[in-house]
Amino acid sequence: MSVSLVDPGVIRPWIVCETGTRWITGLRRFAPEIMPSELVPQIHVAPRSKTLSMLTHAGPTIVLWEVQPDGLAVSCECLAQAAMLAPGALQIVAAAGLTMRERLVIAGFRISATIEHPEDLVSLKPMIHRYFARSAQHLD
Amino acid sequence: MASGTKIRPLARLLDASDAPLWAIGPSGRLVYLSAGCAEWLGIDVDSLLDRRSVAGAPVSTDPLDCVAAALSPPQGLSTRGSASLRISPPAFEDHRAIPLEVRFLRVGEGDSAIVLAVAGSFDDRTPDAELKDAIAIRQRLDAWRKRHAAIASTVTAGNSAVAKRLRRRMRVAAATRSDIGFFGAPGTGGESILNRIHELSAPGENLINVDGPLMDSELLDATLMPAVHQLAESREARASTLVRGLDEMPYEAQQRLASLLDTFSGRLRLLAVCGRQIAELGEPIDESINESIPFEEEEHRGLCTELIEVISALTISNRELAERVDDIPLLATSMLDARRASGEGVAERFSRAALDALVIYPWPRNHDELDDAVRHALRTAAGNAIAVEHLPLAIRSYRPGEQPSRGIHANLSLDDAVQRYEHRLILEALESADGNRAEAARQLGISRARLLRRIDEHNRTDLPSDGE
Repeated sequence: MSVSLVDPGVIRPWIVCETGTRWITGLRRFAPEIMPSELVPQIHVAPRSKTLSMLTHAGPTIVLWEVQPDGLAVSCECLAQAAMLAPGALQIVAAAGLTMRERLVIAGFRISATIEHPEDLVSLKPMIHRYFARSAQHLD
Repeated sequence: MASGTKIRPLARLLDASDAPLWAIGPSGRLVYLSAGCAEWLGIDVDSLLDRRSVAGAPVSTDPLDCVAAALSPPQGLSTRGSASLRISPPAFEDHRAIPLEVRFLRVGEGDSAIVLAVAGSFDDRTPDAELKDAIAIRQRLDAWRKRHAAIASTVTAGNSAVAKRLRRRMRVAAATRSDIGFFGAPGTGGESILNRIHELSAPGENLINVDGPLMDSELLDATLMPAVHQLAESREARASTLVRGLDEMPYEAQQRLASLLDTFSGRLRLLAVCGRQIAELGEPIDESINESIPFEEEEHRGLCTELIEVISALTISNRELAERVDDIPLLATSMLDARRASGEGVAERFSRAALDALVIYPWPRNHDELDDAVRHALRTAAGNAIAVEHLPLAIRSYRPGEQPSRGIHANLSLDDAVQRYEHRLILEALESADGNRAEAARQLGISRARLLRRIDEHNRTDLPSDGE
């Protein structure tokens, strides 16, 4: 379904920040399955700085960060900045290749889930549903 | 006493090298200088032997004593064992030695220790990429913790009985590594307070953030896996988990968390933020209910008995901001000072009228909302005082006691009430977006066209909004 034909009120943005296309491809495959049926995902790909600016004043938004071992410090900076700019955003970390110790480091920031493979997105379905249900409650 | 190999081959190698190398004996006097030293210093090095080379020791006016003193290691070498120094020896008889990096090494201990020194160019000061990354990560974590510490400090400021009690409880919590339950409405600083307590009570210990309401047992396992892995590998390992919204966590996830806490009793610590006061948690969940409930239909049923017992070990609660009226001027001023110090504005104080407005406002979002208001006011005010007109619309337009009485409410239709509420939301969104309608529409999750239609309808209907 073309997003332009959809009521903007049911669109929920996803922002993917990665260097390749692994996660955007996986998200396009699985997003329709894991989103609540009444909501429509709008998927964006953005570099780090653009992702942070998109999060400013954003409504319910899910950010998928690709974190790699050789860029862990920069990723930690992004996670912290995003948490301060948009405490209501849902941050998911794609952590393929991280050691347990490195995952322990990023767990100290405000992330909601860590996954290793695109198919792991399916297991996040309950969390995604709860997240959007919770963000709708705050309008009351 | 054991003896080493013959020294002559080494001496020959050292003399063949052009690297300046020297040795200082236990008495602090030069006992060896290589041929490279002679080249570097432009001195017959035999004339330097037995001269004192100790940092800070008195030096005669003899130029050779001055050169020997310049070759001394920095103070503290005897403790550290190694040191680096850039040495610029004094000129001697028209010869000026170029400054060189020197690495000092203490060999042996106590009264028999000698010092070896090598001069040259070294690349060992530059940390490798991995070490640089580790340093950067540490700096990032420290900055993250400092931010929480600043928020915790602000939230607990004040002279009211509530503020004093809060600070007292924090001091007790910081002095012991205990499970803690924080109870307070959203925006009362629970997460930052617990972060600060963790930093003080268990410095260096890993802390895992968990978003309680979003968890199920599988996701909780995945989230806590790094800590569980560490705890399973070593009996000395410890970790803490900070769970936001523990009282909204699904039942099966609560059970799983309780099980992990029991398994790693004393080593896995729980820091929990609950949105309601402990007295409101009511009866524990009926544990005979085992059927799984679709997540769309999950209802909050309170905390399970095990978790109530855990977080009852040490509880901290913070009242809503409207109940700490005495503290509001000080809290607002504290936030103003912090933001001004970081360069966000020039205003130094609030006008009396502005403080009155802040005190009267009910602050439904508590400290978070006060912080947003201070940030807004600081950006709006050009002078050194924040006036009422610099405050957000919702605050400066609030009028207490103008709420309709129950009788009038009984005559107000649902449609009218919804329309008034919608109008207020739109005004607040426009205020927040500085009048930018597209941005306001985005914040409200509606299209710009729909927002414009709503604004038109409200203007035509002329229905008074709350607070005006």
